Amino acid sequence: MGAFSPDMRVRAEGLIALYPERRSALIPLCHLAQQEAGYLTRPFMEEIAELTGTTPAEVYGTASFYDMLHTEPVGKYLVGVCTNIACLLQGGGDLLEHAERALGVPAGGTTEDDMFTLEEVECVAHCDKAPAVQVNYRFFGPLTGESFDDLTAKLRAGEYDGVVPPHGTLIRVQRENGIEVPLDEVLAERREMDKAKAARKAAADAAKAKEGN
Amino acid sequence: MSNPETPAVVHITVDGVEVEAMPGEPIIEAAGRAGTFIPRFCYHPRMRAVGMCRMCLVEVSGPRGFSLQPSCYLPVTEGMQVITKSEKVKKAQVGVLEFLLVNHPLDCPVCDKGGECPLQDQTLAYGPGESRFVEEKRHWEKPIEISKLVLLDRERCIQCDRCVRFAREVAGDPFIDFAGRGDNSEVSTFPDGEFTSYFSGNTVQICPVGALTARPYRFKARPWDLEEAESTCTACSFGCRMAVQFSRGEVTRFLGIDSDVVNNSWLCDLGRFAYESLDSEKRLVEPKVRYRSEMAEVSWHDAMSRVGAHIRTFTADHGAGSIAFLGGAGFTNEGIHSFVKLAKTTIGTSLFDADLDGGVPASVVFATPRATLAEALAAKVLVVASADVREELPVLFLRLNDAVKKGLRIVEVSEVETSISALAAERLPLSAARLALALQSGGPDAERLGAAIAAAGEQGDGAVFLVGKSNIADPADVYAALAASASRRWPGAKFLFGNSRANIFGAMDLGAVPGWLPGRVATAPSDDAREIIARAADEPMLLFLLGADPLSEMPDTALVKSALENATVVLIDSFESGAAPYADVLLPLAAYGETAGTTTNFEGRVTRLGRAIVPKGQSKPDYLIAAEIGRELGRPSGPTAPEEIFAEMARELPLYRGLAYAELASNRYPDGLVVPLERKAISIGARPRRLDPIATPGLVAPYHQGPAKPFATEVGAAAAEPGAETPASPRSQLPEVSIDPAAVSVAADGRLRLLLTRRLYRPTAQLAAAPILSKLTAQAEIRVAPATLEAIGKSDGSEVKLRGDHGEEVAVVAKSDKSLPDGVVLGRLGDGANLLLLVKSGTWATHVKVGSN
Amino acid sequence: MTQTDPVPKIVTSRVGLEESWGIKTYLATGGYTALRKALTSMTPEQVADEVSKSNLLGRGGAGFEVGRKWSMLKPAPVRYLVINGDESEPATFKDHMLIENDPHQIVEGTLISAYAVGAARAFIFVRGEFALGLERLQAAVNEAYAHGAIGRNIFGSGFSVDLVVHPGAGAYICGEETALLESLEGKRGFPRIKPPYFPAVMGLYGEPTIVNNVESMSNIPWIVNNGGASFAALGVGRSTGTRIFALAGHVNRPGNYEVEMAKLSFRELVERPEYGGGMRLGRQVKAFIPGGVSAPWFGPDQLDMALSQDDVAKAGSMLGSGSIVMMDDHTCMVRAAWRITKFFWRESCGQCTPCREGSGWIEKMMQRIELGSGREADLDLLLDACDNIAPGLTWPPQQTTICVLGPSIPSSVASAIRMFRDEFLVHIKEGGCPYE
Repeated sequence: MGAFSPDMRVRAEGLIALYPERRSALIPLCHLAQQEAGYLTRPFMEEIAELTGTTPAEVYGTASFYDMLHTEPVGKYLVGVCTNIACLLQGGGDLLEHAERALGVPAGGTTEDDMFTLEEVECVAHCDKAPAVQVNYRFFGPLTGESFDDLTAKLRAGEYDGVVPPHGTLIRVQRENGIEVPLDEVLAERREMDKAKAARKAAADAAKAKEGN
Repeated sequence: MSNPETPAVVHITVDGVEVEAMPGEPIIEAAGRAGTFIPRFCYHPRMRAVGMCRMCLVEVSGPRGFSLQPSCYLPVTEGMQVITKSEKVKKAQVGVLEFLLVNHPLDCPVCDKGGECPLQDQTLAYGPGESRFVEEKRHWEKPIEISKLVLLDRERCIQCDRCVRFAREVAGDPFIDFAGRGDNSEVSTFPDGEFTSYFSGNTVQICPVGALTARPYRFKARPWDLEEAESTCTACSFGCRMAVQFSRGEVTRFLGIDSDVVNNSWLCDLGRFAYESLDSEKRLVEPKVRYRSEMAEVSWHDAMSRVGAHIRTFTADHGAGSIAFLGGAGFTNEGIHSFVKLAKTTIGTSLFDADLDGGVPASVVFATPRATLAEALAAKVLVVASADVREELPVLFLRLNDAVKKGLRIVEVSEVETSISALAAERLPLSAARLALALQSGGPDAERLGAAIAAAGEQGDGAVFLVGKSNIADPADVYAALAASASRRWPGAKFLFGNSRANIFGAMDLGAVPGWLPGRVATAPSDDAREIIARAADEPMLLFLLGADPLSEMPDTALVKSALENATVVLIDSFESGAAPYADVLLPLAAYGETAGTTTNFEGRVTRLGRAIVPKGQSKPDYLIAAEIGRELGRPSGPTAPEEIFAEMARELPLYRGLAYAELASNRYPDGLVVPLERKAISIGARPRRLDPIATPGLVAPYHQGPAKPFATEVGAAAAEPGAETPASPRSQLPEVSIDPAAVSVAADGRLRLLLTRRLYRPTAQLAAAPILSKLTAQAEIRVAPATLEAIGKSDGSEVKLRGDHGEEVAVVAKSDKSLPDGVVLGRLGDGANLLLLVKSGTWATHVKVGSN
Repeated sequence: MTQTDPVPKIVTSRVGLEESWGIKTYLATGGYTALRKALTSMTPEQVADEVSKSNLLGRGGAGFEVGRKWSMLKPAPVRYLVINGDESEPATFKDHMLIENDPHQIVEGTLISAYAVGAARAFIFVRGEFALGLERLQAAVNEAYAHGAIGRNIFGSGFSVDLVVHPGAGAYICGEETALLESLEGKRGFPRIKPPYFPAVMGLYGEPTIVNNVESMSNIPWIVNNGGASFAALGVGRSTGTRIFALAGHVNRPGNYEVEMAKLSFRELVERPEYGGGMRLGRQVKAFIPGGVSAPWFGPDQLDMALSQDDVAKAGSMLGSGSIVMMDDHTCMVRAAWRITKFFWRESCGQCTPCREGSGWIEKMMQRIELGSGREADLDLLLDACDNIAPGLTWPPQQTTICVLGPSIPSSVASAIRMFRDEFLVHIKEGGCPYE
């Protein structure tokens, strides 16, 4: 009945279990939802609200703060051309203009075949390969107009399938273990550690005082 | 609960002048009290400071010299030096205002806020003289409807976070949030979602610009045309203090007044927008009497002749005991006093019951020590055994939500989850009857409650109980027994009661309930409303309905109908309620805002009602109608102005001794006083309210803002609040009420016990007359355990049939609810299906069978 | 001054090795020996003491001593450790490299630090866009689990801790530590208002929390294995150890270079063949940004300054995130400053007025000037608007905002106007950009 498929719902619950408070899983759950639907559909936001003890308005408000989370549909490939300072100095601005012409959409637009959503992005920390482009958060660079066209052609042809993951993107970031030691148990251990530390300090202080005498 | 190590005061300097401040308070408050106003937008004294707008930046001394700091956020510390008027501060103020205006439209001439707008006012006082911004401003579609009541203009929004904070932190309804980022941020609901909060109007009240507007007020008036009368809301018995604003003979809006001891400036939407119905076509504005089968408009003179004739005839033919007065809980104290005198002295009948709900009876209310709200919020533990507080006494819910954050421990006694459950440290899932029986006979349930309130000790010292009728289908005795046995078991505990009709406590105090004379004086018991209705179904009676509609307010609809059909009915109301078709005479009653007087809230706090406009049409205030009837009977009742009637009450009734009508609206007692006054001399000095014109823009009349509070009085004020220890409340007078075990019996053959509740937007004649509020009443529904629906093959949200024990049938929508206990069906009154039909008068528990058809 | 020879590779030793991110390579190159040493032969105080001795300066941008930060942790029953891997400062790409190429080193450093500060749980917050880095870091955590380095009774020491890899979702402001904590709590990334000034007092879920940078953590295993004193022996004065500088812009060899702190000058880093290899096309340096786009710019006359935190601060800027952007004499300074302003405008969280509205307004003015609709009066207006965000335009800056993103906005605009006023005037007089 929920928006998440049964498998993903299990993963969602696993993510929630990693945090002392449920709401911490909100963003990881949004990533998960985008993996399933391509973007954050309303049913997904409603289910995430239920899972994290928030309201749909809060999930929407939070998600809309972040560039990677989309509350409207996007293309199969999010193509982000960096035009920030390092890339700008190496021609990132011209590359974006080329990309707009080549894909026929302005930055922020999605091609008619829903293949590409073009974005002007901020620094992607790939500055030694400027001007850089990210495709579903896989990085390419330095690119020229020509190599950009080559890249998009190959993406269209499916030559990057398996290398560039489908949008959603963090699906391969998968934790194999749950939290092995419950927080309460860890805290009990810390209390003992703190006691031992205090004892060592007391002993050291006593020794120092003795020396002083 | 002050920490002994916390100093009582700290000393700071503001612009070189030494100022005493309270430890922990923000600079902006300390400076304000010393007469230095620091401009602000996001700061609101009743909400957490966030320091977002940066308007309140001042220079503050620190380890590295002076720096600009948000004075709303930074707490005072000993020796702190604050500069509020340097060039640096002024430049920061000009800078912030210039930034705020970068994207703010210059549509002041058409903006509802124009004239009372903090942005406009503070720009004038602190802002740049001219605009240096020549670029294009940000644009949004505008306005958008975020609820049926509230509209949002995102272009005007200055992102101060007041509304979002209110929704999240004060109301606990985070159905709006910021969306987007940077200068593209907007306040937003979930896409296509609604800001469905009972308290949404408060966001309009606190918005410091014209971004949030209320549909009922939009484009209705200009602030400078508004006049204002201070008053008390009568939507429930909590008694929120509010300003009635009006223009050219029309009420234009209500604003909450920041009363420390009552509502902290908040109102619920039902109270705030109640004025919508005042000008309605559906108002009853002419006297009407029945000629054959038709009602005809007549003069007051002719209507009075008819009423007088009825009284004389019934007295002559059946004795004064055939005349009964039902209702009056919505009247002013002066009106109630006049009607009680009319009934009990002039006419000579003892049949008067203002409490159609059958709530906690006066005998228990008067015999238990009453807590003030302040005491309840500061209690060691508060036991809530009442109907859902958010539905019945909405602003009390806000105060409890706030108090819990500040450390109040709530123990809830409720069979079903309510709004309080999320606030409560613990919930005992018991019905009121089961708890009452347990308290009477001991046992594990009583011990559980004892353990839950252990902090209050064996005697219950410092514990406060809020007892109210959690199930409409229960007889009043259940709640009488519950409160009485709790008071016996914990003699140190104090009580508040959840009876929620506006002035029900004033009605009790003034003898408008069976067994009581004015001033909490006991007399011989007499029939209550249910018994009167039962009698009226069988014998000739003359019923005066005082702003009351037994059909929508009392259970056992079949019995009520036959009573109204059988009796001769005189209806005194502002609206043609469901009882109107049965009336022989309709007398138009002045509505809220059209009448002066006083009202008494659930603490026993007597406050003034403001008269803003003249009564509509031929309608008259309650006390005048009583006087007219008295005159018709040849027995004029004496004074006919509210202040004179009040003076008579204060003179004749010890309960009101020491009170003066004029004092109740003075700077000295801006929030009225709790009666009876303590006998010891009280000297609490002037307690004018806090001065913050930015907190509630539009509240400008000087008498409810007042000068800044002297420091000493502020600190001592709460302690000096007169207590409610009633001299006339010895515990020995606590009634012995027995409960029939049938009240907790489990029904056989799959029948379920009916738990019947009301919601805030209940279908009443007044609500039906309010164009927008009327859209908010929900349909009647029941909630049942999922298994119950499965058993009859019905899905969530489909219609089922309820069958009562006496063959009554009601078709109603059923919703599946996992949280419900076994054996219970939760009915929620609303439009459509009439669930009151299922409840038979005089039964201890109502059972129904849920069927598919 | 010359560097120690050879310069020890403290954090980048595995970069370039085959499968440098896998545990096989990591164990073969001394991985997890430091964690074992710390847990089985040192007390938490001894570990913290070595870190204090090393005088390791935080590598996130503010350059606060890691050891001192740890010592400020409020003693409380629940304490957390959060590692900041949200690297988003434009032209900074060192953490990205470390996360992708040596995730185990970060995990090991984090676990040692968790032991030293007694953290109940550790979180590594990684910029969401680093998808590959996240995959490798999470895989490293999974491997470390299997290796017995995470979880219950690590290496039989009696110490248990868990480490959670948390993906961000794209917001520069989450690099600010209190915004990062808000984001980790599942909220909008609004920086928290101060005081409290440090998460060490009130951090994640309101509990005392240490927030350290990824590169800082990468140093910890080496410090434990070699001692704080060996670390402190490298570098000059307070600037100890080595540090990665991310060199970008108009150089022949942009890249990350780990060098000894304060021993080289900017010029040496730019010109030496093993580092920047000189300016592209042999052009002249027109200006450079010494420490991320939040930093005020330097001109060619400051090229001989040492890569020292204190020296750069004294000269009115900062080493910040360790990113150096070189701009040659063919660069339009107006466009460069405009692009940086645009970045801050797009990344302003919107919480407080001066940053939310000021960033957008300044961006609009810069755009106007670059595109030819500027007025001479705009220059003073720009500086005054900047002054209303960072009063006095001093360094270190004052601010009217909640967090330091505000006073970062004026850095580039004010630098550009101050250093290249004539170039602005040419834009205004000619009605457009002379470099087009």
